[in-house]
Amino acid sequence: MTNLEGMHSYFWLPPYRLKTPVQEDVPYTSQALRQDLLRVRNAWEESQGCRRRDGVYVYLTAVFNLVAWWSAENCALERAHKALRLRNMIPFDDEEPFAAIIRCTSDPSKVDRRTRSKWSRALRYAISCKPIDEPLDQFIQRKGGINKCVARLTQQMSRRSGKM
Amino acid sequence: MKLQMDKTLRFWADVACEHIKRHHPNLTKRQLMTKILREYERRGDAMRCLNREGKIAWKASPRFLSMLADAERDARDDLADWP
Repeated sequence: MTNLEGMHSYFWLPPYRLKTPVQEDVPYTSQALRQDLLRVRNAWEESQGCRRRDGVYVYLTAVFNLVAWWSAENCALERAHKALRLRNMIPFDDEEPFAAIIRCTSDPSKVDRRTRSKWSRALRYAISCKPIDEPLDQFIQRKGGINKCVARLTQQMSRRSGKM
Repeated sequence: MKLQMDKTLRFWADVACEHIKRHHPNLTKRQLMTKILREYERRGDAMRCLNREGKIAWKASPRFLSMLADAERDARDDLADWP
């Protein structure tokens, strides 16, 4: 049971802070996007401080979860490119959302273009096949690891292009 | 569609709603909740995610949970120090 008497009013928002226009839905503002990027960046820092071999999944999960809900709103590409611009980065041609978010939240001296591409392809495979309630790390490990997921995406794409 | 929230965020959003509704008598509960979520999201206390049904939901951010834990601990300590 939370004792409200002792808690600071920060948590229940004094009315003077709510001068926003009246709306029925919550708009996804640039400030909210910045906060999302900050959390992904924090996950990056956390994964770098982690000595375990699977520490990278902390970061990949944060990237995956953000792009997953953007995708559910069909706005992933547009928001990923906006994220790059908020970081003063120019989107590459055909840069897909996972790659863009990895580029603007990780350390480029540690994540080169090849690693970025590998991670983003593994995440693309996960978003197309992962059951919603299965944690990302378990899914990727169940499928044989990051490299295997990349290979599976390649197979999946060649099957699709073969059908066309 | 109902605004989906996790238990912690729902609790604090309801408290905030009770607190501000007298200042906005013409707004519906939905409109008040929209204002509250927007503010929580703006300052990094709430974040969107997909729930088990694959629908957009809000949850308390790690930062908010950590600040709550600190505030609850401080409140307990203050209570213990009370003569």
